[in-house]
Amino acid sequence: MRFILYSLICSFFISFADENFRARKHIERWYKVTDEDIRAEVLLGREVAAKILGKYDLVDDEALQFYVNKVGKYLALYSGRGELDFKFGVINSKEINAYSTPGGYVFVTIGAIRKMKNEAELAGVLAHEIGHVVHMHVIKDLGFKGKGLPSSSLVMILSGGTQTISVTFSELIDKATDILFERGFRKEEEFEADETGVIIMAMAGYDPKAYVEFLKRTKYESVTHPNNKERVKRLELVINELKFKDGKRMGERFIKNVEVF
Amino acid sequence: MLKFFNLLLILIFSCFFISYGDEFHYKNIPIGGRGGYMGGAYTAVSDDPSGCFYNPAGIVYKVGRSLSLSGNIYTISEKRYIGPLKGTDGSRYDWVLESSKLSPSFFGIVDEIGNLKVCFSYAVPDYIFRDQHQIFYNVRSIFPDNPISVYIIDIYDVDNTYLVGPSVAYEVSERLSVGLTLYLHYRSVDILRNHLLVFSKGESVQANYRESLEEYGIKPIIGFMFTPFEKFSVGLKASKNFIFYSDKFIQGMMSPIGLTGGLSYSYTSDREPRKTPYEYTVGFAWFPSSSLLLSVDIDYFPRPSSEYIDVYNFSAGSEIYIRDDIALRLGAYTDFSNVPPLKENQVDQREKLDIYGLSASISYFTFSSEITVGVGYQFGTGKAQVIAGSTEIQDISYKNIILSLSTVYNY
Repeated sequence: MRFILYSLICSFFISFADENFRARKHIERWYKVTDEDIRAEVLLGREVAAKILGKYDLVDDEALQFYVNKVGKYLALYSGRGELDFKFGVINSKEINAYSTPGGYVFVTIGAIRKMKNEAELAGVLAHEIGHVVHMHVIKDLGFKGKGLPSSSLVMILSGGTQTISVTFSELIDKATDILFERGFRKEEEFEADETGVIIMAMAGYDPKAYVEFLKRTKYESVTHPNNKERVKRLELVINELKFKDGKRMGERFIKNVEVF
Repeated sequence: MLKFFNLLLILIFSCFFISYGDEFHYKNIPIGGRGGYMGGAYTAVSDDPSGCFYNPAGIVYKVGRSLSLSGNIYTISEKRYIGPLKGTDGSRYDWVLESSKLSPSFFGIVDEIGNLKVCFSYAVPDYIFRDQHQIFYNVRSIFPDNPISVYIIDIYDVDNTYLVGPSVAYEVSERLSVGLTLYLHYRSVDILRNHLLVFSKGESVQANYRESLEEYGIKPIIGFMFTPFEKFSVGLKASKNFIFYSDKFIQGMMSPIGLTGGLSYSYTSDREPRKTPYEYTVGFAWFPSSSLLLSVDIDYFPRPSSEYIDVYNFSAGSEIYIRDDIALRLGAYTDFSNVPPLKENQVDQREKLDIYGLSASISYFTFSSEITVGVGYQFGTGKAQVIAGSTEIQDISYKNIILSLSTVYNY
């Protein structure tokens, strides 16, 4: 009897394989990514990326940009969002930070790169930002809530075509920029991006612990990336639980590619 | 002659026992375009605004924000009392109560505040409107040589119950949620009856009756939703209507012309709130696929006083998607009377009518909205004593057709 009771209590803490079984057929359509969905996401992301580049210049170093893009695009292969053409850039800011916009535009500051010791650390930061893209955090934070595909709601706005809709879209861009530069993501979203990031790192063959070390060393905290200690703690738990095989750090290659700095 | 008037008064006023609203049943109008047409078997589903009525714990599973409006386009019902009046030729006349109406049945809006789902809803669980007259010719009276040549009954009844209030729900874990609805209950009743009896020898009697009632109460609904296994959920709901204000006024008047006796009248008022039962429901739902949903509910209403009996109601429903954007819903349910069976050789017993219901609807979905057209059919049989003071028991047959339209907008 006690065993049954214990099993019953424990069962309440075990997740379901299909946690979304309540979703009905018409909702299920939301989960199907259409070309329209992707176009809407990329369009919004491109506009927000333009805002980022309006604030920060790209570092004028083709070799560095090429290298960071190469690492980023390699990681993106493991993102599960093959429909997106991820683009990576190094921006001229002394801050230790990184940004991503919907549609796969990812930026890392030169300040952050200067604090990195190896390619795995760079991969960790890029993979974290890819995680935000994968989970559509910006779009969700803009108010397109629910378990359906949020960019589909975005399609509705973009396909409206009226003046009111255009105003709404420009407001969306401002709000998205505000999320990236001022408000930051929600704590749970940061954890989610961290967890997704280390999984992508591990799948790509990098050592996820390198990312944790980077966080510890740099106290990678800013308005937009708070709760460093808690993040490190959660990441260590995830890494221990998932028992990743030791990956590579690629220190030499990293130094060779960024040594100009 | 005095005896005649007493009997006549009883005959006329007896109608009020049987034609009143529907306090004798607990499941009168289907609520919501989804739950209502799954036969009300919705306690373990409840994941739309109408969940605030069925089981507030379920609204945590509502995806995003939502606004729902449903109305009964048209309801037409007929309750037929078989042969209470005897014609002079020995035939029997049925007395028929008809009701037809257009009415809103539900409005609800669901939103999120932090980790909570909140809802505000308005429901009309009972709505009766009758405006009819019925004429009988050559009805036997107590005077064998002076039958009633014309008997006209004019009826105007309105009996509405409204519930309005907020709900809040919280997802305790992936497998458990809890919710609370706090409804303000308001009921308004207005019964008007005019009777005109013209005897074959030229005398006549006119009688008027009016009854009004206003009622306020609070109806909390607490609900739980468990998900013990994947694709299977269990809903529990408990509620009770606490009526804190009631004001009933009854007045009657009779004026005979050409018969001995003068104007007679009576009036009474009553502020004693009626007794209402606790309501318990357990529901089970199975979601075998995204195209199919099956659910059952069992309701239990313990007797609120010795005048009533315990009631169990059962309902079953299904939702089947025939296309990605079209769903059919089917339901069946019982709506049993809370009145004990009528006994032989007793008088003035309340009618007992057990009702069964069938429902079907079709829904069309666009990206952010849903429109549902539904039809419901209720039928039942029972027993009544139409003539007060008489031990005679009549059969009742009942049928009701409901056409409804409902919309949901997700934003």
